[in-house]
Amino acid sequence: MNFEFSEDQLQFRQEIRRFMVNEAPLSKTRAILESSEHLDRTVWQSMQAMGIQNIMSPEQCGGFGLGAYELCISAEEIGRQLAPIPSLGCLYLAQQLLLQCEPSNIRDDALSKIGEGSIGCLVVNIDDHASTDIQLADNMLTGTNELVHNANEADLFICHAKDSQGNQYITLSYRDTSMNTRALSLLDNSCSAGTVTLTQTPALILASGDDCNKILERCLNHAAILLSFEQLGAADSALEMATRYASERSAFGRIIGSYQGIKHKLVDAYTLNQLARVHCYYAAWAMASSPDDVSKAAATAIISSSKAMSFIAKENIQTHGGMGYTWEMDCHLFLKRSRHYAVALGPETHWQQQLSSCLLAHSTC
Amino acid sequence: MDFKDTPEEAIFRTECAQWLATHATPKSAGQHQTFDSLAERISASRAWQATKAANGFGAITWPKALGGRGGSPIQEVIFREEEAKYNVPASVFNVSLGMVIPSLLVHGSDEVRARYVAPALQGKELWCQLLSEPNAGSDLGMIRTQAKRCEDGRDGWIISGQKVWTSFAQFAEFGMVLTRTDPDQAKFAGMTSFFVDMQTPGIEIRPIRQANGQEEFNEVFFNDVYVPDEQRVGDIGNGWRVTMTALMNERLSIGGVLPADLWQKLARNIQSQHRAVNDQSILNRLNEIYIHAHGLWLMQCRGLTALGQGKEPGPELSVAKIIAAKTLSDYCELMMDLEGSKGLLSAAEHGSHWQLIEDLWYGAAGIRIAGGTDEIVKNNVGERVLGLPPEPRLDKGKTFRELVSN
Ligand SMILES: Cc1cc2nc3c(=O)[nH]c(=O)nc-3n(C[C@H](O)[C@H](O)[C@H](O)COP(=O)(O)OP(=O)(O)OC[C@H]3O[C@@H](n4cnc5c(N)ncnc54)[C@H](O)[C@@H]3O)c2cc1C
Repeated sequence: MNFEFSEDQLQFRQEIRRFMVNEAPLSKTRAILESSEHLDRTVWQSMQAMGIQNIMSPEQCGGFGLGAYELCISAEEIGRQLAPIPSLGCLYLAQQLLLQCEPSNIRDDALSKIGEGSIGCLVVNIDDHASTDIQLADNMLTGTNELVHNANEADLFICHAKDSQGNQYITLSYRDTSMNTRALSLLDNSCSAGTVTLTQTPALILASGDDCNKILERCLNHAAILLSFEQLGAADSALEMATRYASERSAFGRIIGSYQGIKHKLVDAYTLNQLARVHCYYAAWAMASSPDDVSKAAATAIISSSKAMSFIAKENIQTHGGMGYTWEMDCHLFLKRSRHYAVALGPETHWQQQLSSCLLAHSTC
Repeated sequence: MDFKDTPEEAIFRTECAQWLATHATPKSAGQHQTFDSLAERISASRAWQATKAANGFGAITWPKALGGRGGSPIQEVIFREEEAKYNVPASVFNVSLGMVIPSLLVHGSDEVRARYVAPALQGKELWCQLLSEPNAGSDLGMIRTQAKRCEDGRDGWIISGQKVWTSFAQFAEFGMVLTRTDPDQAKFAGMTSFFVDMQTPGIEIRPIRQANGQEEFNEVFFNDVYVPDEQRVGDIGNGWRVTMTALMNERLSIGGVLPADLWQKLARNIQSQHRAVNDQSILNRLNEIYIHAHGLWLMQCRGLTALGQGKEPGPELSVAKIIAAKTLSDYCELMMDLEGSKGLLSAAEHGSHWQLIEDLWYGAAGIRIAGGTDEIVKNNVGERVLGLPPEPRLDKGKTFRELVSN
């Protein structure tokens, strides 16, 4: 039995942490929130220079060909800083989808572009609420998707489309004048999502037929795992912020952390974070080496990390009292982000259903 | 037990409904008045308060002599229930008319009451409450803002210090300020209350931006502000009692916090979605919100009944604020979840009806803190209601000066 990252991976975490703390302090997230931009390109570029966009890409695409672990670790560090970068749309969705496709020049080019710093997005039906209707005819795409993560900044668009006979395709298009994206106003504007409208957009085929479902399903599970790591980092970061404040602030002549009302609250948060952590690690293992367990592990990871993040995002404000409710303190950055994470890949009930179906299906072994 | 209006209550309800019908426009389903700015919301709220006051609906429970209606608490609730069906601005007078003026009625002089109560009731003069300071929130007894007797022969005081989190200070005409007048007494004993004109030279108001980007509360600096002794409220050293009178008055205001149709809105929303209706986890969340929201309403009914019988409402109402904040937050998050991935969009995309959800969601985080945090409420209930031994107190038997120098 060995349920821990390797020495090298732990070393890698230290490096990424140092890097992210320097490159993406929370002040950058705050600056994006206050601007009309939805991402910080300088952070994205320095991440590219560091090689984060290349972690899982195969060597023929200029990547390092590493497994899931290093990317999971990076996602956690991205989350600790609430970094305003297109991690969800590009790294967790678009890139993961490409990695699920059979190698081809088309696919490899796209992975290389992402490795070089281009931003990809995935035009897919996240859930039934944001409608999508993209049609493929004569290698041209037409249609609209109401909600696509990081669409507005994207250079390449991976689309799930159907032809007039209902056959499925996964396609790749590069941004050109036939596509129109509109940035959406979000509860957390340090993230980014947009609507995508395609009109006779040239498309290259990455996959077709029944493979599409399998590829999409795996991709969404991987995205959920990576987003869970990001949330885990954010939840830990919020807990550290609360713990720090609770160790400094006093009321009634005592440090507030000495009151059980505060101490127990923060330990409850710690407990949720630790549960989320083991489920995230288990999911990383499944992603790296046990595909059969991915569906169950991804659902567990995202449910437990969302719960942890949602709890500490609120209790961090509460621990800070009136200060916590101000714009000046960073608490609200975590609060806003907690809601974004909670629904970005579909609401909790979706993952709850996936988990219970997996459990029922495995009830006999 | 009976939840139907008594004949008198029914008559009063009809009277309210008729009056409202001629003075306001009914809300369409889910409608919520939004304003471009806080300043606009405040003026709309002032205008509506003026209309109500001119027609005897400005303060249902206040005595007629003060411009009120001389009505019962239950009539107050009936009016609020009817008013909620109309498109009227959310009140900004909770502090003004629900806390500060009631305290002034108890502790202010006849002259002060004669001058200030009517304009406050008519919404012409808005009051704010200057209690919290950077180092004294939960522990309000530790306020440092100082009031010193003038030494130049004037019969008054010089106030210096800083207040913080003062809601609506930037719009208020007047404020009630809690100060320290004798640092050599125990912390609760050496405090005195004053009221001040917010335009007085030396008062500086800086709005604070909140988590939701709005600016409702403020930092208020007192830079050697002169206040005549006539503006003292209550005796010297009696500031804590004046403050407690104001804070105790908040208790029956739950009806104002939770929209009455909260769970119905949610139920309608769920009913319109095939998937949600068949999802027991969603239905359980709806049930829980109902249990809390309806439970709060029932607790309020018990309190009102007690008051109607000339008794004190039960202590269980002390936990109402905790339930209300949690229920609001749960409600908003379920509404967001019902939108699926679109739950991450802002009101700018969802439409103006969504502004209420956003405001309530942020607001719930504020309710857990304002006017006594969840933790402080629980400590109080544990000690005063359950009679549990108090937490070890480090400040017993010490003067304020000793506490500060520690
Ligand atoms: C929206 C809003 C509006 C407000 N409006 C006004 C206003 O108009 N006028 C005004 O004067 N003030 C106002 N306030 C201030 C409010 O009353 C204080 O913020 C509140 O009392 C908490 O004080 P604090 O911020 O100093 O937090 P602290 O007292 O520093 O508390 C920090 C944390 O420690 C906890 N804590 C403290 N003591 C204990 C204990 N003994 N046991 C367990 N836990 C404890 C608290 O619960 C909290 O979680 C407002 C606040 C908000 C959020």
